[in-house]
This record gives sequence, C-alpha cells and structure tokens, in this order.
Amino acid sequence: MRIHILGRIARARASLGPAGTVAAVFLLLVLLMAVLAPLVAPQDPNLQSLLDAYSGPSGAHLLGTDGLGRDIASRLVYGSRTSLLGPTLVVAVALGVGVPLALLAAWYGGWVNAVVARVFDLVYALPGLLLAVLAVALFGPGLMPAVVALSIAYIPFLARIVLAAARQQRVSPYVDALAVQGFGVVRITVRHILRNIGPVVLGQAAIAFGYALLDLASLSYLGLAVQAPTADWGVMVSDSNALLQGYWLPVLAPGVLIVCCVLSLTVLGARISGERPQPYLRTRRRARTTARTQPAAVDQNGAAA
Amino acid sequence: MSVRDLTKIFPGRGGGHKAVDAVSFELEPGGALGIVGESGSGKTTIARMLIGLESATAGSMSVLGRDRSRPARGAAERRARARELQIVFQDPYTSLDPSQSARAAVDEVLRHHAAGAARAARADASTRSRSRSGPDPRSAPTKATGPTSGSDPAIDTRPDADSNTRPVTSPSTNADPRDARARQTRLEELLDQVGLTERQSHARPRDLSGGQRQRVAIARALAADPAVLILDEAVSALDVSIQAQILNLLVDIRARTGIAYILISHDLAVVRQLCDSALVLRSGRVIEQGSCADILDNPAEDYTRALRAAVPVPGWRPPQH
Repeated sequence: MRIHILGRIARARASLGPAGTVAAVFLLLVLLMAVLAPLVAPQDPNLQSLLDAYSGPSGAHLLGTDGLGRDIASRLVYGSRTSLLGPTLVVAVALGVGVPLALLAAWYGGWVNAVVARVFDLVYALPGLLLAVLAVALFGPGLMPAVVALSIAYIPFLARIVLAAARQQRVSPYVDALAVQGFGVVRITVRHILRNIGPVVLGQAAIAFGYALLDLASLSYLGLAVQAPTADWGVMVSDSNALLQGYWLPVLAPGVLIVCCVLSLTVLGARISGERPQPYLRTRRRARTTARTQPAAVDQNGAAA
Repeated sequence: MSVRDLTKIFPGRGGGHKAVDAVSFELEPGGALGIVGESGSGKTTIARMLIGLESATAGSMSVLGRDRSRPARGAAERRARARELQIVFQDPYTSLDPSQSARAAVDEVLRHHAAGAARAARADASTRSRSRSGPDPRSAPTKATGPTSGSDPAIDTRPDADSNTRPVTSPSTNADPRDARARQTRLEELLDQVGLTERQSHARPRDLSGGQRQRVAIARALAADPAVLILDEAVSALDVSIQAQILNLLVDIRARTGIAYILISHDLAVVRQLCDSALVLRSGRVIEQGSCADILDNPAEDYTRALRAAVPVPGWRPPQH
C-alpha cells in the first residue's frame, strides 16, 4: 500500500515537472493552512492591541502587527480561508453552468452549437471586474454579489475551452462506435468524452481559480467584496496601504501570497492540461553542455533522458 | 437482412446531392456481401444509414425482419438494434476511446448488453405475469411493438440467458456472480478469438499497433453478438501483411460464429477473399450485382472492368504515356 502511494506521487512528480511540483506543494500547504487555520495561527486574527501597533517582526509577532496591533501572521492564515473560498465558489458555479452547456453544444453541434458558442462569446466580451462592480452597485458590497458576477464572467473562460475539446472528441469515430452499441448520450458524454477531456477541464479550472483569486482580491482591496474587519488578503493590503512607504511588511506579506498562489495555479493549470514548457529551450541547453563533455557521457545522458 | 430502394439526398443548392440512389440488396444469414466502388460512390453513406448515424431520405432497411428505417426510440430499442448490426470503422487510430484498455472497452459493451438483456427479461416476465393474472388490453400492443420480447433469438443465445430463470425482483445483473463469471468467460473468449494477448488486452490504444487496434475494434463489435457486421474499409488503413492477417481472422470468425458480413471496400482483392456476393456502386447507383466470382471474373460493365484493371497484379506495368 505504501509503495503504491509512493509510486503515485513519483508519477505525479514526473508528469508535473519541477515547476509544477513546486506549485502543487505550495498550493497544498496553503490549502492545509486554510483548513487548519485555528491550529496554525499563533493568535486570534482579530485581537486588537493598540499598544503593540506597528511593531516589527518579533518572537511574539512573527510578521509584526498592523495599525490596530493585530498579528499579521494570524491574519494571513485566517485570510487564506476567505481568499480561497471566493474563487472556489466562482470556479464551482462557472464549471457547473459552463461544462454541461458546452457538452450539450458539442454533442448536438449544428445550430445548438452555434447558439451556445455565440452566447459564450458575448459573455466573454464582458469584463468580469466591471460586471462585479455593477453587481455591487445593485446589491451592495459583499463577497456574494462579487462571486455571482465573477461566476457569470468566468463561464465562457472555462466553457469555450471545454466546448472545443469536447467537439474534437465528439467527431471521433469511437463516439460513433459507442452510439452504434446503443449507449445513450449522457453515458457517452460523461463516461467517455468528459473523461478524455478531464485534464483540459481541470487545468483550465486551476488557471481560472488563480484569476478569480486575483479579481476578488482586487475587489476586496477596493472595498467592494470582503468587508474590513474580516481577515482577507485583499482587505489586508488595503488596510495598511497608507503606510506602505515606511512600513511595508503588512502590505507585502499578503501581496506576496496572492502573487505566489496565482502563479502556482497558472503553472499547475498549464501542466495539468498538457502544456509542456518550451522543450527546445531545454534541449538546446543540454546540447551545449553535452557538447563539452565526452561522447560516452552523451550516450549516458541520452539514456537517462 | 434486406435493403429496399435506399436513397440519401444531402440537401444543397439545386435540389441537393443524391449520394445514394435507390440501392436494394438482400443478405442471407451468414452471408457475405461486398460493396465496391470508387471514392464518393456512396459506400460509406450506405453504411452510416444502416447503423443509424445518418437518416435515410427514402427506402427501407431491416435486419432479422425488424425495420430500422426510422430512428430508434428509447434505450431498449437502441440496444436491440446494436445486437442486430455492428460496424468496424476504417481508422483504427480514432475508433477506440484513448483512455480505455482493450479489455475495458469490450467489457463495457458486454456489461451494457447483459444489463439490457436482464432488464428485457424482467420486463417480459412482468408482462407475462400480468397477462396471467388477467388479460390486460394494453400489454399486448406494447409487447408487439417493443423490441424486447423474450422470444428474440438474439437475446436467448446470450450467455446470461439464464437470467430469465432468476427471480423478477433481483436488482441488477452485476449482483449475480454467475453472470459476472459468464461475462468474464465471454470476455476472454472474444479477446482470444481476435488474437489479442493478455498483455495487449491491458494496453491503452496508443500502445497498440494499427492491426492490434483493429482487432480490439472487431472484438468490441462482436461483443454485442450481432447478426451482421459491417466492415467499412476496415483493412484499408493497414499494411498488406497485417491486412492479410485481419482478413484471415475475419474468415475464421465467420466460419466459427456464422455471422454475416457487409464488406465495404475499394479493394477488389479484399472483396474476392471474403465475399460470396458483391455489388458495384457508381455515383450512388448499383450498376452491377451478383455473385462475387461472376462480377469479378466476368464483369458486364465497363466500370467494373476499369475497377478490376486498376488492381496491380504480378506482371502489371504502368501504362506508357
């Protein structure tokens, strides 16, 4: 059993590559941090202590405190909860609406495909942030209006890729062969088409998650999504924004976390959906290094690769 | 199998394009019919209409006396039709699900039809018990039009036909270990029949050669235990030595199971090796029809002669220009 798990990890590492593995491990740690927040966080994230305001990193406060004397490390840990919850909802809703529509359009083709594809194009033309600002104007600031608006905006981002991939499967003769065996539409679509395009869907969802995280952080920074006392990375940046020049850690720490998460999700998403880092760059570098070594070593390198 | 005045017109400008024009033929149980013609003569369109992937503009088709001119209604009818007629496509590289091993692909079909047979048997048993408790006027017409009647020989010859004797209340075929064992036996039998080794049967399509993939496609088609198998240019994409292997395999399978073939090909040598009768298509019309030997040895039509002359034989020289 243990060997089985280790083998799976080794295979995952091989298919993700070094950058993808680092990204996956980082994201796992962030996820773990969010789930285990009460255990990980050194203090209550909302505990104020004006006497300790603007203290630098110390034993008591690993990353120092903000203007209200709240522990920044603890706020980062708890902030991961709200900062990850929003994008999770956005991606879940966008997938839930977009994927069935895309599969439907891919199966029936013809005018169904044309109508669905044009609707996706139309929604794709709407900027997500603008839609979110509109939703906030209508329903007031808060996480939910922003999430709903972004979900709508992210449907085409996911569904257009799914539609193209599913369409390619649909016209494959194996789908015809299954239909001739008497399998129904739903079964062929779910068990065969969706399974074959799974990596594409998953990869695109990871990338969308990253962008949604960034969008929600921007909205929270502007005060349109998550509201002030709640710990959230975007809110934390805006809280300490004014003092950036003299006292940068409270702004930089959540900012770095946001950037690292988005970057990791983008790298991981690209790897999952089957994109490989430009291989010619690697072979060129290898060719240059091997040219300097002995011919025997070239053979070994070739065999090892 | 019987086909009458089958016609397909693809809509387009000027009344559309008549791809298939009033084609008729008969196929005896266990027979083998070759359909030959050049590219665009309507061969594949006929195949697609027969298997229901394309609707016919006019004409009728039936297998084992059951009509298949109109689209199938409902899961049971789709399944019943699958057991009448199966197809092996030309391109072995795209006709298999890339994420399924040979074994999984064949097993999926076996499960599908076993579950269908069990459901049909249950429906039939309940219909019978209902008519025993008192004549129900509605049950008679449903039974007559439904494709799931228990007297269907295609269903009764299945290895899980013993499901008829099981209690009506049994929830699923998979729950019965006897059915699982019968299916396993049938799976091994099919893989063995098409000559796939144990190792090949566990491989994904991308790790198999074209010939091996075509063997998988044949096994998957045979898993439905069809009365007729359409081979749509099924060996054209393979190189000559593999072609010969697959053709021998097909001859062998026919001798063993009594399945009927419709072989669609532009290659007269292939048709000659496998078929009893043949028809020659040109621009969607049948221009010659009869026994295979007659047509290929003494063609009455210039077109057939031209097709025949296009086959390179030993001593053949390219025409001098």
